[in-house]
Amino acid sequence: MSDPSPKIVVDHVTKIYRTRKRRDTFLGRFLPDLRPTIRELKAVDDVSLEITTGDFVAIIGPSGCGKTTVLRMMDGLIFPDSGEVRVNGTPVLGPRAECGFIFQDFGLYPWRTVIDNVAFGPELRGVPRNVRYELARKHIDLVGLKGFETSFPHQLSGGMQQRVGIARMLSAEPEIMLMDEPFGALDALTRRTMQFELIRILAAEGSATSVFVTHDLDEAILLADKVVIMSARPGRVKEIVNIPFARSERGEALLETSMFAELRHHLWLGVHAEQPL
Amino acid sequence: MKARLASLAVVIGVWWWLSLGASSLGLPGPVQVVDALGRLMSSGRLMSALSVTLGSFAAGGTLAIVIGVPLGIFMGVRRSVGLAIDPVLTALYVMPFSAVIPLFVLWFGIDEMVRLAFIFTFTVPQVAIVCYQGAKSTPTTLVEVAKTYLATERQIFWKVILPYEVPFIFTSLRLGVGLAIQAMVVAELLIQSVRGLGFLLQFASAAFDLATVLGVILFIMLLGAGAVAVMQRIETSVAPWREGISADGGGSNV
Ligand SMILES: Nc1ncnc2c1ncn2[C@@H]1O[C@H](COP(=O)(O)OP(=O)(O)OP(=O)(O)O)[C@@H](O)[C@H]1O
Ligand SMILES: [Mg+2]
Repeated sequence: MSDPSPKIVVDHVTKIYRTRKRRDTFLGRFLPDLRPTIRELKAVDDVSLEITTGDFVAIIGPSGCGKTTVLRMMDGLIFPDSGEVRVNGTPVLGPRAECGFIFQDFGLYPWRTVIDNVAFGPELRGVPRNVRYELARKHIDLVGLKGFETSFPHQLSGGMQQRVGIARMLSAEPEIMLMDEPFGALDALTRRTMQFELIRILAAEGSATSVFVTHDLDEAILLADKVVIMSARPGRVKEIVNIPFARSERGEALLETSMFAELRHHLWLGVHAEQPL
Repeated sequence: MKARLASLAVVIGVWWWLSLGASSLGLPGPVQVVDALGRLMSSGRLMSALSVTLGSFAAGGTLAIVIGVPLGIFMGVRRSVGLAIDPVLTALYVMPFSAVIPLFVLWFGIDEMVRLAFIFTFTVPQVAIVCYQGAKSTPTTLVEVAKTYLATERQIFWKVILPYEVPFIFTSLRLGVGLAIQAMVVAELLIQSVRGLGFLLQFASAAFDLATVLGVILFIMLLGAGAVAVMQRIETSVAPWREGISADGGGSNV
């Protein structure tokens, strides 16, 4: 691991959310807010991380510790108050083509068919219809949704909807995949299936760099090369745990090994110590 | 469909039964009303009244849509504009219909213009408010997804906000038609400068011809229901994804 230029660098990043309590009264709409009440909340405190090309990194930590916040700063959806996030060596000033993002609640467009959802990225770039459909079909096949091209999202199950989400991200051909609890909205059984599916899909796609947030310790060990444990709010990096399994080992059988159990216990202690009662 | 026919049958049945018992009170039964309506039609008076009425109805209604829909969407997209205009629309919305007629006559006279202005004023707030609510409620995730794929402001508007708005536009049109019809009838009843449907109503009730009054009212109701049904058809073909999603019951129609 002597890559001189890491893919993603989170460099002493602090994020403070400021919520302004607006006076939502009838008159308040016309009058200027003279004494606005601003509530400050430090979500993330001095976080530093380096993610190398090809890494698969999981971020875990108690609820509200700023996992989503870190991921969204990597994608340029929000910005740090101090410190800097760099992707491919340049500061993140907004969403960029290198990054794809998977949303916990799928974020599919209900008025678009599966294929038009999947082809959304190329469509925005002005790729002609037949070209982008071909690209979309390839990824729809890959995620196992062949035959559902013309279905609307509401006609699909939750697991299938997130498959569409994954295919949509892949069709934009990102170098970096950012996933915020990609399977958090699914039931336990579907979630397990999707975890193995993601391993299969990413293996087929070649090694992109991935960062994902999860609450599921098994998921973190099963998928990631490195697990970042964050402390309770304000979130800091508490520990980074290396997961020594090779990509080829990652399957059903791994769940039964004592190594897996040990890792899970280790992560559990790490997160549990932080979980507010 | 069955349920609709059944409820229709019940309403007509009750009406018929009431008209039997209450003939002294002067409630014409279904047969008399349909008969009166038939006479109005064959004499040509209904159609000539309708053509007069539809003119200002279509003009005022169309104007309300052409201005109300974009206004509402603009308010939703530019929050400060929305916050500023919303109370004005709400005030207009609760303004009592018939009480302001004299003002309208003062400003717009008693011709075509006053009816058009009246229908417009009473339809536009509802249309704009519904469209405003729609644009305002566009889920942030859907906008963020587009940003992740590097959408421009323009693309976010045309590919996210506007498609999300479509069902709201149709809802606003449905409500708008109802309001426009009410405004139209009120205007014609109170400003009798033309021989439209309102005039027919006024004329018949002056003559205590209740069968004709009810006939005209029935006709207006059918007209409105027909317009709404046509719009629902258009909605299901324009927005097929709405089938199965029935947040406001709009999905399960026809
Ligand atoms: N837009 C926002 N405005 C104000 N506060 C926010 C905002 N987003 C998040 N927060 C606050 O910042 C903190 C961190 O939020 P974040 O969503 O990053 O946590 P998380 O680790 O992803 O939690 P979870 O595991 O529940 O998803 C929380 O306390 C949250 O209330
Ligand atoms: Mg989160």
